[in-house]
Amino acid sequence: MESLLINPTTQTPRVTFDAHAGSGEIVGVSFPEHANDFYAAVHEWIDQYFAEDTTRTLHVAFNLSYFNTGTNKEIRLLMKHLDKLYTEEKSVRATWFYEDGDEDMEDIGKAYSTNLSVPISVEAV
Amino acid sequence: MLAQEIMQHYTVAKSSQILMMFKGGLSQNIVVDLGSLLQNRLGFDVKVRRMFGIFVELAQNVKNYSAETEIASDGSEVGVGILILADSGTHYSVNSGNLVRRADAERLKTQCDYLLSLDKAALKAYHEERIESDPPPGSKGAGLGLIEITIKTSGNVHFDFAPFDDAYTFFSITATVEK
Repeated sequence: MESLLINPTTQTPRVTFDAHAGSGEIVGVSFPEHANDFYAAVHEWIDQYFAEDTTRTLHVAFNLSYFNTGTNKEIRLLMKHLDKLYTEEKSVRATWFYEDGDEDMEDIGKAYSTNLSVPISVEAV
Repeated sequence: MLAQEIMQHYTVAKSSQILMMFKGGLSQNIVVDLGSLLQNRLGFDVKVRRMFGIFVELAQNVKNYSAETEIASDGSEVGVGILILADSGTHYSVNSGNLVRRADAERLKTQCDYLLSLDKAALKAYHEERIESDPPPGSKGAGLGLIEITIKTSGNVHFDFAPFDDAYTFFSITATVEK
């Protein structure tokens, strides 16, 4: 399966999902005009990844310094997607990185970690 | 414009400690460019990021909801308004202004008053409820921008309205963020 690689721009993050490594990363800032279009590719990749082999494992790292309201909703949908896979007994986990001292980002990560079943580690960098 | 007139603009900008001001159509590209300009000027530490988040919400709010529109260079129709970022020493003041139809102003004012009446927990619950629901008809976002601005400023936001003409009201948002 091909990797998903989206280069970063001033308004969108770097997105890297690697099937061989079983890991994905979303890094940078995110405030595109149409956040749902941008993140659709990630949902598709993840669905394809597990459609090919349900025993695969996936670790998704979120490392965002800033995102807007539209992206907030998309991150939530992505987290719910991972959560759904986890409840379907797929081997899925996530890490939420935040810059040490950024309480807003820390709180968002902790809320996901508390409210969802999928294991989410919240780590300062 | 002659020196006298330009000096007036300069004097106002200086006395109001304006870091950046933009008046015009706010296409997504302009919002991104203004954001880059702001980062070049102020860096991107945690406090700047918090201010930047509010700045982007205000800009996208004008872009999506101003009753005055123009066609951007990419052909899209975008809202016209004004954005002013000022430094008040201990705080950043992030301001936006745009026209709204007089008929819409009352509904908007009711919504703003409602947001300001909620405490933090109630705001978060309302945000949660709205993010889970489908966008209201005619909304270009999820109708979440004003809620997020109110949460991010911990209520240090002022919504104001001024008569413009028979058809329009001028709507302004002033958000204050600690430096």
